[in-house]
Amino acid sequence: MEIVQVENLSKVFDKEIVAVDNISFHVKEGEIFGFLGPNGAGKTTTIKVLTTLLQPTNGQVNIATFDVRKKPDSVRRSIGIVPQALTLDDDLKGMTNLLLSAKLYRVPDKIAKERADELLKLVGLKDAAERDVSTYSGGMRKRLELIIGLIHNPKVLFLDEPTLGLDIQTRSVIWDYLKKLNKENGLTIFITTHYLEEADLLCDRIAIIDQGKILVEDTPSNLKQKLGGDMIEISVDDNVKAKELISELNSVEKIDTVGQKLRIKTNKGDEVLPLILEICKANKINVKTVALSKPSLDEVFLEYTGRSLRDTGTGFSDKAAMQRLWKAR
Amino acid sequence: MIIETWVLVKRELEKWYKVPALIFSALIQPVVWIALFGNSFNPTKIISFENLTFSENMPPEVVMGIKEFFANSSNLILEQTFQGAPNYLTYLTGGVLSTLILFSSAFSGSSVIWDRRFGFLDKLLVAPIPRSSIYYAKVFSTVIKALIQCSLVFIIASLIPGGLVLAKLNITIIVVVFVSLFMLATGFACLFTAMALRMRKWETLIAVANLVNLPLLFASGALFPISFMPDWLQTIARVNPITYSADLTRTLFITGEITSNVIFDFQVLAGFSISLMILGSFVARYYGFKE
Repeated sequence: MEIVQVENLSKVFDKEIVAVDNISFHVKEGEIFGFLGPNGAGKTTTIKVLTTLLQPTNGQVNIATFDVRKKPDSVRRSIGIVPQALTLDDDLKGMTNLLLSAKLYRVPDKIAKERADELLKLVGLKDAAERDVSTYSGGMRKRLELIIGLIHNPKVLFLDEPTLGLDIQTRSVIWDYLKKLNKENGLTIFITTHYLEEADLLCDRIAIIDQGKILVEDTPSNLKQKLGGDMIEISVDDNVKAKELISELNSVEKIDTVGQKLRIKTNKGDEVLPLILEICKANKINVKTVALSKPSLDEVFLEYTGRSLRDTGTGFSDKAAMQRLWKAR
Repeated sequence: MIIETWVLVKRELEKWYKVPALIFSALIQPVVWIALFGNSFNPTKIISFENLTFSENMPPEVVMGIKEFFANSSNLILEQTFQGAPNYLTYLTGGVLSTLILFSSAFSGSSVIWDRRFGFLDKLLVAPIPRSSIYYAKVFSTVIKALIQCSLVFIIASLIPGGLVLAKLNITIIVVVFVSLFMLATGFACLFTAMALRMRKWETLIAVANLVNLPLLFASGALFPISFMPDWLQTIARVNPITYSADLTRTLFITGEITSNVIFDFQVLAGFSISLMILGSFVARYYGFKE
């Protein structure tokens, strides 16, 4: 069953700022779906439309069979949300925050208490439950935020950049929880991120979004496959001779001279590399450096957007991005 | 709707009573009005001259008469101008309770702005609860806080030497006073919370509150009878709900009787609170939480 259905969704602010431009995608039940893109790509706007915080300008969005426009309350009951910005009440205890949310979702008191204990244990906040949230660290807040999104047992969990600004340890801890929840409870997870490794590690399928448009949608391994295999870079003292010899190898697809180096494209980097070294040695060619790189989502992203995710300039007008951020508050 | 509102009201109150300093700092202002303003600007003392000198030519009966007049002046003023109150502080307390309601309601919207800033509002907006429950939770938590503060001020005013003296103390008087203060608080809280719903900055709220607080206080019968005022100000005071709440409260304190005046004041306050509640619910529903 497709639990999230998005058809031709557009969101325009102030009649001119197009934040989301006619996108369509589906998320199946029990799937982890990743929405990947740079800052200002339209990820948060999309998630806000999907979670009924913003009205779509155009298009059809159904969550757990309910139309976000016609049945917002039914949608709200079916989903859990871990927003990008923290939404905890600092002046209340962790447990109070959790139970407050449970009450708003009409979870019966007894069940709420049991679930709260269970979830607090899951994310290791049991001992901190009776402390005010203002004493929590960034990682603890995020973990509390995560289980608040789960207290009413939602069908879909929406996470907007859940590990933004967290250290690598906390990040991997959160990834573990998410995987566990997905595997053991069959929870459908919709996650936006601009960390490629996060998408690679967690997601069953990924959509890359940039400037409001979906550029590509597939599984991480398929996306990497499409880039066509591994890359070997070597620098030797005799480029011409080496190039000639290496190009005779069976599994080498392509060989180019880039500056002082040779760039070899192949499907079986692990196997080809030792062969290359052997040939060079046999022909008395001196190998100075060697590097093998497997395709990463970083390269996938580069391939489709024409720029790296880590570039600070997104190519998108900063003003528009700022306005969108402001609007989205 | 009622359940969600109550859950959210409890949240506000829990945050409030965890910080006793907040409760007491809000009490300082009304107590200052009573203890400092009420004592030093006491109008009954202004005309009580004690060391008057008279020319020797004056007949002693006249001197006696004048001295007697001034000795009796404060009672006369209380009787003529201050509805026969036992002292000025009794007259003032009714007004100060209404002022306290105004001042605490004026800032009722601040927590909406904080919730928006800290993202908590987003959590409420994605929860399956009616939008108006968010609004009414802010309104009624403000009302409850204001009424608790009113009770404390009422007790303090009664304990101050020369302070509040009630003609009668019975359950009817207390209930009527608190119901009317409740209505005044509901009206103001609805108004100010509705104004804050779309505000993004705390500074705007402070500016608005400062802009209306003192004018509303002075253009009312809270401190002095409105007959002291020039005509144009009397007109303003007559549409100011504080005038009616102050009048109702002090009449009950001074006479202990539910007069026709009290009934009229009560009706005005009921109209004020009901109309603003209706207005507020429209604002919350159709305007306040839209993107």
